[in-house]
Amino acid sequence: MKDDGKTVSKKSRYPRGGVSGWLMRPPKYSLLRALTAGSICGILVWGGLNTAMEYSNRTEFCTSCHEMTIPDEELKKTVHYKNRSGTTVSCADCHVASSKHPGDYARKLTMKILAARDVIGKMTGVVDTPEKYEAHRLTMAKRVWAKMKESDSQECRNCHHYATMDPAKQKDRSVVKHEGAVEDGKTCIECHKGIAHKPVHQLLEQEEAAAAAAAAAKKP
Amino acid sequence: MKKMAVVLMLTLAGTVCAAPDWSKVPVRKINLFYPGQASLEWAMTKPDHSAVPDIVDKKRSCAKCHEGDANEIGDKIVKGQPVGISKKVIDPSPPKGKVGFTPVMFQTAYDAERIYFRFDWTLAQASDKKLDPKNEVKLTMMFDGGGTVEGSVLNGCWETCHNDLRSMKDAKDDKKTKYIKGADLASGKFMDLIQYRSGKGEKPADGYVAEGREMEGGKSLIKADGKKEGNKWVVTFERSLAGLGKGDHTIAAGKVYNFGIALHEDYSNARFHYVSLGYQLGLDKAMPDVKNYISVVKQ
Repeated sequence: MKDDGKTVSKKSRYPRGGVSGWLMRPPKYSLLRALTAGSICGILVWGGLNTAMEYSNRTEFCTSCHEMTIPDEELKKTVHYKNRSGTTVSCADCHVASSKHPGDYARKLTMKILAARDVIGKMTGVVDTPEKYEAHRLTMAKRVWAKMKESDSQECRNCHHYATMDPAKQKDRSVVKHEGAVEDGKTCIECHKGIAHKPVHQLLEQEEAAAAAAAAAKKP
Repeated sequence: MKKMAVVLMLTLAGTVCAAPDWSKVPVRKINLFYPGQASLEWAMTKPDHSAVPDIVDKKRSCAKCHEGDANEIGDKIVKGQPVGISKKVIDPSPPKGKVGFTPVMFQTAYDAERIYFRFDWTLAQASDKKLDPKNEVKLTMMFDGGGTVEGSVLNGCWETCHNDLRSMKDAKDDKKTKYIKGADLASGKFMDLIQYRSGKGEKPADGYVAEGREMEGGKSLIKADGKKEGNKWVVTFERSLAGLGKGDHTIAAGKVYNFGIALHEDYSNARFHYVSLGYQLGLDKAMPDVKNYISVVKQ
């Protein structure tokens, strides 16, 4: 720059050197160029974030912790894994799931951040043996059931809808139960516990029965 | 003159009370299935039968959920497998060779004085137990007096079936027969029972189930016929509409009667029968919303 006493160089206005200096100095670009470059960068960053998210949603990623091979093997024995039509689910479909509703990305992101708790669990070895897993199973299941109830079984409703169930293809008792569920405002997870992994809801029923008995005994 | 009057009366009686033209009577296919030791108590135990709240709170009849899959249930029981969520097997030693279910074509009609029932089915296969050597086949129908046995509105004959009967899970008395808790003949809280017996010289039975099962006392059953052609059986009952004897209900217009069918085939006895879920009938009364209801056509 000409040193004519009137123009002030950028370097003199922003004397800081190095990377921080470069970051602080305004660019020599037009607004249009800045916006275009920004948009492209934004797409790359957002795409990168999403790709990273989906990368960590893969079953292979989940089961890279050996503890998770237990529920994965259990899933493989159920109709949600292998069936006539070949439709299948992965861990993320039920445990991270957002929906087709555009606004649900926030929920998906929240679930992903909360999943950091699993890393802590891995490091502290909460369920790192089959015995520990069994002992902790009901606690983990209750957590998932609560989350699903809170979302009105969004995880299920991403694929299954009462309105598109064909009564002619369901057993009578299923038709009757689903009609009752719609009438009573019940959500899927209230009845359909234990469909993807080893059932443990019978322990919940025992707990509830014991609690009811204890409450009845306390009454004068 | 007197002779002519008698002949005339008999002819008139014959035309009024002739057997129906069955080809004009609608047929209802009812799957009779093998129930093992599934008593009323079994059906009302939640860990074995998850539908208990639906029965108690929503008053759902058995047939509402199970008319379509009674055959599958029978198949599982006869193979000694547990059914549904139950961990326990319903029949620990089912007779070998028995099939899980037998479809029966059921028809019913009535005229001024009588009601007629027709059953036809094809025998499946012989099993190894011959518990009643006299009768190759017994076909039984039980019905209440039009809602007089409260439980049978939902469960048909199951109201009479308990864990402590002979051959059942908690049997202590090998002569104990079906009963209804709180039965009362005077108020109509009993099941009328009519039975065809195929044995040579065996008469049909007209009895009832109240505090126990009685095979006699009724006077309303006029006749019960059975015919076997190859493997196909046809059994017909002819019964007066009026209740004439002890343990006989009157069948009248305007009421809905709860009934069930039991088939003892291949010389079987006691609980080794095929049974229907609870069904309902009424004289010329339409109930299109009720799946297990059959309207009896007028001749």
